[in-house]
Amino acid sequence: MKLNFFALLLCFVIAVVSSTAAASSSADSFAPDDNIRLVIYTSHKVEIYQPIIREFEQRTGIWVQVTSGGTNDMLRQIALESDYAQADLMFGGGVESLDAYSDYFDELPADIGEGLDTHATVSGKWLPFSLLPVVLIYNSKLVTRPPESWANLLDSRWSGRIAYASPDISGSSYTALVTLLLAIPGDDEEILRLFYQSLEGKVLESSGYVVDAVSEGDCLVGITLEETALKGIAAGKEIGIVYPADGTSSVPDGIAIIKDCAHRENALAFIRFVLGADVQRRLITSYYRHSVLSALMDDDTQAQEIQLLDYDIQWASVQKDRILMLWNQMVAGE
Amino acid sequence: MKHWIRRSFKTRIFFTVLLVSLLPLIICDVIMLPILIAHSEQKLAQESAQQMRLIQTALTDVMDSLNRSLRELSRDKTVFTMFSENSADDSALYALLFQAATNTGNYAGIGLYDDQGICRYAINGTNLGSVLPTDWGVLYAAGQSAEPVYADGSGDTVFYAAICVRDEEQAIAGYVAFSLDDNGIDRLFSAVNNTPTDILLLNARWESLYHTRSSQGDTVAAALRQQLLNGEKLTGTGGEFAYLVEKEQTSGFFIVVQNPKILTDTIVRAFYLISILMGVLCLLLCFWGAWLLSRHLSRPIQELSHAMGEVERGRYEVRLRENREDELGLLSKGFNRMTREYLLNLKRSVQRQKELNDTRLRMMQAQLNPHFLYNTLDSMKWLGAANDMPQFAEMATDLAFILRSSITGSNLIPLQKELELIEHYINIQSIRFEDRFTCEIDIAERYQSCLVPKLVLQPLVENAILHGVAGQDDGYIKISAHEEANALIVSVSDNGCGMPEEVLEQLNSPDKRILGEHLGLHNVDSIIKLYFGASYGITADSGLGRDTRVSVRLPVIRKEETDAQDFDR
Repeated sequence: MKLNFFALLLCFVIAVVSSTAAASSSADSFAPDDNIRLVIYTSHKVEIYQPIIREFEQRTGIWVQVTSGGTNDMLRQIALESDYAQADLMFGGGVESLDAYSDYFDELPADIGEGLDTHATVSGKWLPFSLLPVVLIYNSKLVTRPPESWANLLDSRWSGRIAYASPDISGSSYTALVTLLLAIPGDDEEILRLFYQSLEGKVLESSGYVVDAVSEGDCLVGITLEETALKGIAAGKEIGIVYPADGTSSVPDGIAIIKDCAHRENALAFIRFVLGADVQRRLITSYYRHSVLSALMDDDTQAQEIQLLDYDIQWASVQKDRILMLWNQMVAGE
Repeated sequence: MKHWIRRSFKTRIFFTVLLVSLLPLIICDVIMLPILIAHSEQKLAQESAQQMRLIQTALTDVMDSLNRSLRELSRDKTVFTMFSENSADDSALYALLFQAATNTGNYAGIGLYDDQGICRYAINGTNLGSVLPTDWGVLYAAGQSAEPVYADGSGDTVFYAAICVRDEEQAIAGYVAFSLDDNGIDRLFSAVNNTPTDILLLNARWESLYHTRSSQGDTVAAALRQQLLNGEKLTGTGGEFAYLVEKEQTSGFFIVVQNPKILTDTIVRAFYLISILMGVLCLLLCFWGAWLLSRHLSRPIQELSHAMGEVERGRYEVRLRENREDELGLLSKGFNRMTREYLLNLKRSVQRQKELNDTRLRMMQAQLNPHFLYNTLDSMKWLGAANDMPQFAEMATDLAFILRSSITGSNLIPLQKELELIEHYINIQSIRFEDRFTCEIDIAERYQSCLVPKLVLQPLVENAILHGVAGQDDGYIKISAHEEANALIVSVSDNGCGMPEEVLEQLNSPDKRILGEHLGLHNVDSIIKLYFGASYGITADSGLGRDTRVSVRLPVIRKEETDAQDFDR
């Protein structure tokens, strides 16, 4: 009898609770099926990835979930999730970084890289998305005779007035350092030492400060990415751009499909879209970048002006520890 | 557990009280709160649904009118001519555009874009000469479709609705595009929504287009989208709002109605927290109360049980406290009374036993002397015979016989034996009184075997000798027996001096206490009455100077009857 009473009470409670649950609204019917979903990890800024992704969604009807963060954070996340991939695609990040994590990426079909410029080195695990040349900038109000080449930077005129972010912190700064070492003939370590002397110990915390340091007159010249410089000019900063006569690097950022991902077809569709003419054209017109499509390069007059040197991504990758160690020794020995 | 609870009276009371007091609280917490919350959610959901119907209807009306206008404009000859031949009657074209604006409620700007995406004609806020890319966004989408398309806006524009104008070869000649900005949509929604409800407009992939609180739109939309994709309940950024979502069919956009919850998650949490705290408080109170009550009820019973155990172990002096006035107090008092009575009885019983033991001791001591006397008399008999004193020897023999009879055998003896004893007694008295009296025993043979108490006749004979015939020379004593109404009457008569009147009265009265010298008669009467009851005893018939007859009235008991009835007490 006692048991019956408690059973009855329990039933009543369950009925009440379940009716409560039923009363709450559910939007499950609007959720997209799994086959029209795509999960992207990106290190791009929101103003770059959002319009591209929205256009992709509009055209394909695929729902994209984006997680954004620093390149290294995203890559570490992918490595952590390697047993059970949460994301389908890594969008952004220097290709040397992607190359370092190539174990976690899937082989791409051969046809997908067709039409890409040979200069943008192509691997089987990743594809380049856009080209980001390293340039010199100068304060257009203070400097009448800007430096013309990397070698000019070692000139005593610029001693202590060069805006440069620590290569230990900024990936683009390291690329610039390697470019400098490659552009100036001579012994690596000697050139590195001379360059560091020119800086007179002035190293910025982040590559984001370079444009401001120059435009505000704190420094006379600076080393940064062309994209950053052009954006600064568009924002009305008093800077000018120099494409070094002794050549510069144009390391692409890349895109790669994560191994054993859930939505490989949609990821491939996304890669085809971003490497398609519509997006690549917008890189030039809207994003101050250069396209990786050889067809578009012909129209890209700016790109044709840039003197490119033979930047070896593999070498840069291998030498990274040695160069940074030398750098840190100089910083410490100061 | 159950067994443990049932094992003790105290735990039973304790758990019963606990259950009775906690159950209502638990029921209240578990049932009432969810009902309250569900009710408030339902109410809100109903209100939201009502608002949603209004908003949805209004938006669909506008979208349908946009669709109609787009189709009409795309098929319009004037528009087509403008695109294909690059010339047009401006006023006719503008009249067309204003007509379309009116038809669509003047919410949207209208632009005619050529195949390069350059705006050629524009009204209601769309800039003439502005450019929309044809390889991107709305114009690209319109170029891919024959029907009106809806796409995310850029800049101030919330969304575009556009259609492609095609020539005979289906090549793109230009585009007609409506653009709605925040202002237009504000006007559209404010016409149907005068409550503090917030409205979000999302595109087909749940990305934010518009929000009545535009500063929060993107965050809320992103949170909702994440929740949708994760299959979670739509709760937005905090728990403070309830959301209702419907799809607008024409555009494929989603309308989200955001209403502040009546019971926000914070309040609900507070409710639960309070009810849990109350529950804990009640639990503690109930625990305390139940414990006190169970102890209050069970302690006297435990004490009683303990006291019972003490009594079982023989400690009768144990007493319970009597400080309570209730039933348990009565029980304690009863127990105390019971043990007191028991103790008293025990003491009495011990006393009686002690007395009994004393009596037995005395009896044994008493038996010692007659034996000694008997042995002495026996020696005297032989001494008398040896010294040629026959009377001395005879007296000693008779006395020894009497003595032996008095201390041996059962208390009831046959009349015959009693008569033998009497004969020995008379022998002694005859020697003492030098044969101045004679005694005759006249008892029929049939009475010889009747049982009588030992030494019941001797005092009668002694009385007859000492108080009757003692002073005479020719005394005569007769012992006779007869049966009268089932009783045996044994009489001792003498021809002595008679009995004084007061002694006679005493003897015949029921109370024979004051008999003075006649103590022997009193004893006989007492013995008979003790053995056989008040209807038996002694009677006397005499007078001063007359013959005296004293009779004993006894029940007729033959020897064999004693087997069935024990009078040997």
